[in-house]
Amino acid sequence: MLDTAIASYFSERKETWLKKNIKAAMQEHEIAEMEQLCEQQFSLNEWLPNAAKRAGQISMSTHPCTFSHPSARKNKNGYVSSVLAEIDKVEDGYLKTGNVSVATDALGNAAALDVYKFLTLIMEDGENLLTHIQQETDLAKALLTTKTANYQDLRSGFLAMVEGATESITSSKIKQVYFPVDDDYHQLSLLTNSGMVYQLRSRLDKLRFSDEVKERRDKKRKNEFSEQGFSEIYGLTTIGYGGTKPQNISVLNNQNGGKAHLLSSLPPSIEKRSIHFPRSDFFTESFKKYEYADNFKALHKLFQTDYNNIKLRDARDRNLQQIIDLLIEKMWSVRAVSQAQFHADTSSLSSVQMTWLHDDFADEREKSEQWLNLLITEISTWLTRSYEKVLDKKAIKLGDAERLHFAEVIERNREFLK
Amino acid sequence: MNNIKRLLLLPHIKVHNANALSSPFTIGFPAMTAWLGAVHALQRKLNAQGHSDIKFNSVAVISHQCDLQTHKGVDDFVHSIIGTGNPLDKTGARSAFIEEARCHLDVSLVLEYTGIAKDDEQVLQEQITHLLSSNMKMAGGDILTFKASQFFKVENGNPADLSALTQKLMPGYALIERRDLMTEAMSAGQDAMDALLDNLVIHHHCEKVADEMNEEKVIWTSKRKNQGWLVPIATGFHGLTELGEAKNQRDPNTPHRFAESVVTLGEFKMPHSIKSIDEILWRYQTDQTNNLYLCAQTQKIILTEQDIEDSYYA
Repeated sequence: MLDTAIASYFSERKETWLKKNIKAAMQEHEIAEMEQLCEQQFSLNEWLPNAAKRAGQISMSTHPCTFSHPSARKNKNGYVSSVLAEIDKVEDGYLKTGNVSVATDALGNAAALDVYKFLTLIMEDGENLLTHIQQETDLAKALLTTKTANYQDLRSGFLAMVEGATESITSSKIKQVYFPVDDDYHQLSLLTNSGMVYQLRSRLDKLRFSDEVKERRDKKRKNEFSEQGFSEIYGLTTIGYGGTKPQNISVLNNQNGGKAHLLSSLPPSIEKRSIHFPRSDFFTESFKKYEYADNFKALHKLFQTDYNNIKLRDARDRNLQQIIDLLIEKMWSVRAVSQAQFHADTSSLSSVQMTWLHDDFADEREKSEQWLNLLITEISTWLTRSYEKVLDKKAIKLGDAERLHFAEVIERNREFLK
Repeated sequence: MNNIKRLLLLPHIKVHNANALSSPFTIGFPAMTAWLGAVHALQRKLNAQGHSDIKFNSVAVISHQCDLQTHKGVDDFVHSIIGTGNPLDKTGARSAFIEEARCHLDVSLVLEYTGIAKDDEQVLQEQITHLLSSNMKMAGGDILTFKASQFFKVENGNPADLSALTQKLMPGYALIERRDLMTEAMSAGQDAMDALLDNLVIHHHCEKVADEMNEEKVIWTSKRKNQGWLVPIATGFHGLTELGEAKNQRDPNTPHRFAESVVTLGEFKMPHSIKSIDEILWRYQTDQTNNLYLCAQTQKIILTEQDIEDSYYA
């Protein structure tokens, strides 16, 4: 009795074969002939020895070399070693093999893909057929015992798909880097874990396109209640492996049409697009309340506690510093547009702010510090005013202690306001 | 323990067509290994020119600008790479290729050094200028322009020393390691990929709140899991096979193995708010038991709320 997965594998193959080979113009006896031929081809006695012979044309690999270069596999010394890495999970904070469980990939002659599919069929016990053959289970023994071929020959034929090479072969088409180790180097041939590449794509696609997420996104748009939240990701880039022939790269690549997603690792840039050079006052024109609201709310909570320890002071400093960080980033953005956007005839900017923000005054800023002292007072006033604006009626009256503290944190950033 | 660091600033190096594919999972800023590699190459060149004592022990990377060469159509949600298919193969057809992403950069590098005497500083400055303007590559790209290098001394705990240097890095963003966030999420049960993604996505979350009139209101809020400009970064390699010899290896005399990129979280941070130069310095580090070849931060200063509390009651 065949495992159901194997049985349905064969019935599917037969069906496709017949569809391809039976033409409408055929006579009934010709059709019958074809059907007989088909049964014969896909009988275990015939198909297994044929498949076992072809199994070696495909190698299973966690890191197919073809992701480094499509023609990296074959070279004058033979085929590049097929890496099948088995690595334990370590909670070390790195995205690397072993720390995510993913599918094993395969590469090789596309004409032998049917054999790969056959060997990766999942049996009723949840293990794939290949594992059964490796472990010589009863199921495997029963399957591979035929009249036409020797059991051991069939088994070793199929296992060629996962056989490690006896020698290590890399390629000039694979990036090879030197890495310093003590006083010497190691040379590393860099490969890609394609299972991980496509696992990433599948998780990103789920974030973007799954029905639950679509439904929740819609609820948010209409401002309706949803028990569960959802997540969004921006800045993805698509990369193609293998062009119009993704099958030449790997099995997984072919299944995914050769398209994978990349996450953005870009730094922030000094924002020029949404920034305006202030006409009359930097503080009222260049900030939006939501940009600093959370920090002031956190500060408010800290002001209200009646005890005082280092943890508290540290949290207070951190929130204040974050507001100053925002101010400094804004300052640079405004300076970046100062040449293009400043119009002398419509500007009523104070001379202090002008010295501070316009590129023309860069030298002036270095020469004297008087403007800076005035600016620091302005920033201090702005902090108090913004706190009161954010907290509205809940705001407590800030005392000298708080004001002094504001001044201290601003003073620490003095050199960076120049 | 010497608490004075000697540092060399290479300001505003403009790099054209640097490799923006830092790992098979990320695009944008070049990998940390590329920057340490460039500095290591510079050290070797200086060593070969007779300055055999010079060592660049750690490196900080500050991005002033990074323009990624990707394309986004009007209605596209994702970007695609603007690739080139050169060179053509011998029949004149477009060769099979993997898309290569490029970026144009303006970066400053801060190198921690030993082995340069005070008297040699000027000579070295000239030699470095010469090396950078000859045929040196950086992160796979060409160096277009750069400003003259400068020497600094930073005493640990001296804010004036530190800000004299960091002022020169403004405006810009220093890359720091935030592997702590990944490790934390992984020990809470997430696998490495979820730990990474969870820190990159924007979470939208919904609540019902009663307003002043006691009527129920639906409020959606959106935020990231952690503050800061967090990005995935490639910081090193992970050996997959045993060390040994391989056919076709570039150099038959160096031990070879197959390896992959490792990726973790990083943060881009304006250097004005750092408290110690160690917060932005990176150095080579190998972990032979786990087959790791890493660029890692020299010292982790970021304290958790718990650390702060513990240090107070200690």
